[in-house]
Amino acid sequence: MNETIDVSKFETGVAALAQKLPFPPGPDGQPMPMQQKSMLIMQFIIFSLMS
Amino acid sequence: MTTEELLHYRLSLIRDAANMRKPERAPVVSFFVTWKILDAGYKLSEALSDYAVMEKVVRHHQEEYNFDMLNDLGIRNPYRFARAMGSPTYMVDDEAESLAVHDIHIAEPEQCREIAANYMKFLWEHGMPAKYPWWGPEASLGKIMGAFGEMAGFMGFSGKINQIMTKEYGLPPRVAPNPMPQISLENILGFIFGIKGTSVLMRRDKAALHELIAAMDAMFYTPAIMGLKNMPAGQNPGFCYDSLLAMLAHNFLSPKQWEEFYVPALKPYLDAVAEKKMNILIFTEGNILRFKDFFRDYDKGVITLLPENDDIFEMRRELPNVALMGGMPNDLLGHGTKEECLDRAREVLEVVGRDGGLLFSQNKMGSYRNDAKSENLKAVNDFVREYRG
Repeated sequence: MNETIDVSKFETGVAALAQKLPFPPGPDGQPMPMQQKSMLIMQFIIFSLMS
Repeated sequence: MTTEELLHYRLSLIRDAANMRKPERAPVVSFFVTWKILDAGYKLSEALSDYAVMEKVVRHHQEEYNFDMLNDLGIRNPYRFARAMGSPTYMVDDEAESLAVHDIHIAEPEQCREIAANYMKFLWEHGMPAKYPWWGPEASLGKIMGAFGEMAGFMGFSGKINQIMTKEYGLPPRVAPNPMPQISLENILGFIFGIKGTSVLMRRDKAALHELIAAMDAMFYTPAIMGLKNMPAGQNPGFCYDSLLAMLAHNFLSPKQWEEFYVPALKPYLDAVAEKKMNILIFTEGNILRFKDFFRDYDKGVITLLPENDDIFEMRRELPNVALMGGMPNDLLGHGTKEECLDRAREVLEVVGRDGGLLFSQNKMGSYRNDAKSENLKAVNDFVREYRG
């Protein structure tokens, strides 16, 4: 995959990743809410910096 | 004993020791990390990059040495994730059988106030590119998706290996999933400024450092403390401990800095644990005895310390209210004779464990092949399991 994504800015980067990353559906089968996606992305950032 | 009975037996041994009651025998605890990979006959890179191999390693470790609790289930180093991100943190050398973990800091002291003003924005826009030069306007989506998948894979393995060890081996999980306050200074030193940058701030701009601690506390520490305080009192009987803390930053603090920067976070945390009658396990890297007075006021049965370089006999004398995990030097396990190891084990059981409050373990994270000889470890574990003092 050669597609690139602009993650240079915080606010737009979160929104872009929330749209592109493959999040699993919730227990009710519905798409994951945006707030939960954002939390997972922030977890990803902290995990990246601590690993 | 059935696996279920073994699980409950081990939990009772560990909780008795943590509560400073004299258990039927001292529980035997593993503090081995990468040593167990080499001991199982694998290369470090093989196990770190393949969860199926790491599962075999953890199973082998338990089947060979029959511990009552494992401090590491093969999940200390998220190597696959780091590799997917192109992180320079881990350097594996299979020939030398070593895993080097590089300290990387992402900011300079003069950026402290900028971080405090918007922590997550700073991590995103400055921290990430400082560590990962590819993070920016044209980042590879495939790379991010791969790493994101690795994060999920790491968490999946973590859950799976916990289940396996509990259900198949009767090994109790280490810590209950309670709100766990993070000491902000540990993260500031651990990955933001590093040792040098944090020390510079403490000397030259304490106000900025306090600002950053306050900002981080508001996001992470305070909600967790509130969560802890809102929990019902009592210990979770399905886990060895109710809370867990790793301390490193204290090694770089003067007594005055300890009082100013560490105690204001640590004390409310431990007070909350004590108030809830819970057990906390604290891994004190380096030396902790110079701050022993801080721990003296807590009731028996609250705190278990896992010391690294401190003498465990001195710790027992100085802190009779604290349970201790440790006692067996890796140097001796790796270089001593079986008789020397058993003599040491007996002395630890007789002196440190005389009135309870001992979880028998090693004094360091077992990392290198010379951190233990297999035959010494087997003999010591057998001896401790059979000892009734």
